[in-house]
Formats: sequence, structure tokens, C-alpha cells
Amino acid sequence: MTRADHLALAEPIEDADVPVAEMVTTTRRAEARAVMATVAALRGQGVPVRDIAIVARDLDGYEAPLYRAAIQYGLTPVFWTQLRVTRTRPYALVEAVCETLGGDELTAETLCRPLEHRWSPPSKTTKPWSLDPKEVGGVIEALPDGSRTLTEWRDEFAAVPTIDERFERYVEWLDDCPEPTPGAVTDVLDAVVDTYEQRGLPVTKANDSPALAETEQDARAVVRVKTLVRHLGHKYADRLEEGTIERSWSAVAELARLMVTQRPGRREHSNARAVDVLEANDVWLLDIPYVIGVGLVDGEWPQQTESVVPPELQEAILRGEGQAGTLAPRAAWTDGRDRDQFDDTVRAAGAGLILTRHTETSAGEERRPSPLLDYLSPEVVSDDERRRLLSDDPQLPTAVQAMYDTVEGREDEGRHDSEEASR
Amino acid sequence: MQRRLREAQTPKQGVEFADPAAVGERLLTTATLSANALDRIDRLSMIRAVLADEDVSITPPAVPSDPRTVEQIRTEIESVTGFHPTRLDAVQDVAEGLVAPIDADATELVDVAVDIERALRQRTPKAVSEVESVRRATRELFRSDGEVWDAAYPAVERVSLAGISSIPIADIDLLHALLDSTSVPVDIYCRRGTGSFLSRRVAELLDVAQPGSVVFES
Repeated sequence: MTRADHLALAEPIEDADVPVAEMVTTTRRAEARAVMATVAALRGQGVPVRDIAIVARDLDGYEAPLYRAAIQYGLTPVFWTQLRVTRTRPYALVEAVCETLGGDELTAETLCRPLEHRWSPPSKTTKPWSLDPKEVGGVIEALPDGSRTLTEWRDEFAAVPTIDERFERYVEWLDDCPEPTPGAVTDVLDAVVDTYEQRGLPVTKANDSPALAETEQDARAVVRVKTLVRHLGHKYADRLEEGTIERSWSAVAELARLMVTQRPGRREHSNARAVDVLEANDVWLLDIPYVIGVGLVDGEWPQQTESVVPPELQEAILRGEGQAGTLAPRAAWTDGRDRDQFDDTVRAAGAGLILTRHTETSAGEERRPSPLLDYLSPEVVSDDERRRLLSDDPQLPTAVQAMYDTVEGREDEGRHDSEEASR
Repeated sequence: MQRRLREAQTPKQGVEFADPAAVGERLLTTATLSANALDRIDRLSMIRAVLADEDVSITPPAVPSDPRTVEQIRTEIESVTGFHPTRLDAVQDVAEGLVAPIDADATELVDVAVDIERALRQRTPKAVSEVESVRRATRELFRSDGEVWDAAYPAVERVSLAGISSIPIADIDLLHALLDSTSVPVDIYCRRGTGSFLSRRVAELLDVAQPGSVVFES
């Protein structure tokens, strides 16, 4: 299917309500430098850092160059990268352990969930433990229905001589776990993640394909969860001191989830020197005076997602004629999501929108402008102006300076609003 | 959305935020059904086992046989059909109507997706995916004629689906069952880039019997 067909699926995007400038550089690195030079120059004019945000369709390619450029300009970038850690096994294990320890009455399923996530007894020995999901499932089915306390389960297990001794050992471990003081929380969970690294991770590796992609993901998750456990202990201690959390393992589980799903927000950073760098996915409904959209390059934004379904079948389903009308059109087959997010980015800008792109790959191949740019009518920053921006005596390009001057003209109401918002 | 409301200093009282998967989980738990679902990691290793045991036959090159690709085939066909009998018939007809040899490839792709889902279902008592959990909840909602909804969400007066660039079929079917079996009004909020396209399609997506049902026996 051609791009025109994809685009025909949606209405044109409306032009921006604020002035738009376009800045073009040769490489991605140069683009990142121009972006940070713009941020620094706006800061130099007295624009608070929280009034500026940088938006990329996909941070993967931009995080490193933007970071380097930010450092050059004495700026601290905060990257709002998506935390997917909640979908990893080490995280699931930590959460399951907390929930099992926190439950008053447990069903067999809840009781055994940590085992499904490859819990094994913390100890110095590296003796294989390996309970596979099938064995765990078998034991869950053999256990009686209904909820019991940990101690009752321990008695239950002790009364059944045929039960795998590893299960007994597990319930003993649970029952012997200390009360959730901050120190105990850190110790217990640390040990849980450590043993996962020793015994769980090798299982992932053994089941993995030769490229070891899952092993790499799992190993990265182990590192992330270890860091989480450390922060979790501190935060839990703080909250206990403030009296804003109860002392329970369930509360620890909740706090852990809060910590991994909460990203640094503007309000939390409103006094900081950090400049927000977001993915377009996170811009929905935001209102920021200066928005800098980066990577307006064809293939980058919008980005074509790979599909296994033949384009002809995709097209028939997207058109939805006749029988195909009951079939759900899949967004990933179109650039619909990218369009929505581009529109979000355009609407987020309250004072001015600056869009940047580069024209060459690092290998020198041409990169074409994004077709999304056609919907707007940006004022293009000249090469001379860009050079002045990057010089030792940096000056904002006139198009960007005009955004600032316009806002200054409306200073009274504008500043009042932004103070309200930052409180 | 919660953050936006907070920043706009709009009260959040009276509003509960949940994604369709969380709603499905609450419904299943209320009905004392298991809300356990395989995660992607488990699913991939199970698909690897299914392929190794040759439970599902795959003929390259029409269908590549590495687990990730097979999982992608399953997900894409699932998001279009929800493995609903009427929709699977429709997609097969559409596939057969394509020009040769694409018709054969497309047909086989759909078959592989169905076979893999079936093989996974046979290997686990859990739901194969979170999406299947939502379907289980949808079937339960339909079966109980809304009773499970009233028990799980007694105070909810209105359901709004917001922030969408696409409408996965499982979510549509959940809303469909909700509309058919309760008196709760449902609003769908589309976005500017894709809204007009999606809103044209929604009505017909609701035009199937027994939302959430699947071609599999159990």
C-alpha cells in the first residue's frame, strides 16, 4: 500500500495555533546540538526551563546525542523513557513475594505465584533448584481450595507426606520472613533478586534462542530491579517516618509499583534545572509554552512498523468494505498513531513550536523530510541564523525570537498562569 | 490522564481509571474465575515448545517459524478477529479473494494464528494472553446478563474509553457486551488524527453476535 493510501485514512492535521519554526541540519548529532543550543538561548532570555520540552517520536535514536549536546550546554536532560520493568520476570517475582507475604489469607494460586516466577531459596549453594511451571501447576491443583494463612498452609504441607519437599521449604521461608521494617524489606528482596540472578536467569538462557535476546532483556531487568529494591527501602523508610504508609508487605508492593510506573513529572521538577525530553506518546493533553519536536524525518516520524500480514490483506481490512467491516482495523498498519502524536505535539505548544530534522544518516545517505511537515507552514531557519545560534555569542533565530517577543507582550496573564500551574 | 487532571486542578473524585485489562481482571475475580494470564515471556517459550513438538505445522517461507514471528502473527490476527467465529470466516473470505499467490499465503497465515492459539490453550490452564482474559470477562459479562458487572462496579454510572489511536477488537467486544447486558452508557473518545476514520468503523465492529466468543471448544 502506498503512503497516500495510509494518509487517506485520516483527515488532514490542522495547522498550529502558534508560530512554527523549522530547523534543518545535516546529521542527527548536529540536530541535537541545535536543539540544545535553542534551549540554552531561550534560558538565556529568561524562559524557565520547565516552560520548554523536547519531543521525539522515538527516544532510542535521540537519547544519546541529546544527552551529549545537553551536557555541552550545561543542561541536565530528563528522559521520560517508558519503564517496561513491570513486564519483566524479576519484577513480577518481587511483587509476587510482597503480595504473598502481605496477604492475610492466601489461595493456593497466590501462595505459589512466586514459585511460578522462579523463586528459589536464598543460600550460598548453587545447587540446582529448578521447579518448572508444570510442577508448580500440578501442586496448585493438588492443594485444597479456599484461602488460608501462611501458618495454616505450612501445617497443611507438613500433613501431606507426598508433597515435594521444595514446597515445604518455600512455605517455611515465607513463614520465617521478618516483619517488614525498611531494613528487612531491603534484605529480603535483595536476596530474592540475587537468587533469581543465580538460578532464574540461567533458565531464561537455556530456553532462549541462539541470539539470546530474552536473556539480555532478563539480565537488564535484574539490574533495574536491584536498583529499584535499593530505592524502595529508602522511600519506604521515608514514608513510614512521615506516617503516610502502613507497615505491611502489601504496602511495599504498592509502593514498588508506584515507583516503577511513575515518571518524573513537570511538577516534581518545577524548580529543577532539568529540561524534559519526552516521547510523543507522552505529550497528549500537555500544555508547554515552547515545544521542540525533533526527528521530523520520513521513516523516523512517521515510522513504518513491520508486519507479517501481506499488505494486500492489510489494505482490505483497513478499507473495511463488505465482510471486512466486522474486522478491526489495526493501527500499527497505518501511521495513525504517529499522526495522533504529531497532532498532540503541535497542540501542546502554547507559545511556539520548533521542529527539527536532519538530512543525512551518519553514513551519508539522504534522509527526507517527514510528510507530516506538509500540514504546517513553518518558517525555515536560515543557515546563517543556525550558525549564529551555535556560535560563541549565540543568538536565537528570528522566528524563535519572535515567539518569545509575542509571549513577552502578553506577559501579565501568561506569567500568572504559569505560576499557578507550577504551584 | 491522571496527571493532566491534577495539573489542571480538576478533581479526580468520582473517576476511576483503568485499562480494559484491569476491568477484565476485576470482572473475572468478581465471578471467582481465574484472572491469570501468560505473559509474553512465558508465551514465547511455550510457542518454542509447540514448534519443537511440531504441534503446529508451519511451512516456510510463507510463514517464518521463529517464535517471535509466530507470536506476531498470532497477535496481529487476534487484534483483527479476536478469534471470533464470524470474524475468522470474514478474514478467510477476504484472504481467499486476494490475487494468487498472496491469497494462499494470507490464508495460511490466518490458519497458523488460529492453530497456535489453540495449541497454547491446550498447554495452559491460564488465559493465553491478557487479551484472552478480557475475552473471558466479556463472555462472563454476556453470560451473566450483566450481573457480574453490577457486582464488580455497582456505583459506576458511565464508562468512557479515551486516548485511543486504534480499537483492539477485544476492547470493542467488551464494550459491546456491556452495552447489551447493562444500562451503563458508553462513550468512546477518539483523537484528532485518527478519530474520523475510527468512528466510521465502530458501528460495524459491533455487528457480531456473542461478543468475546471464540472458535475454540473450551
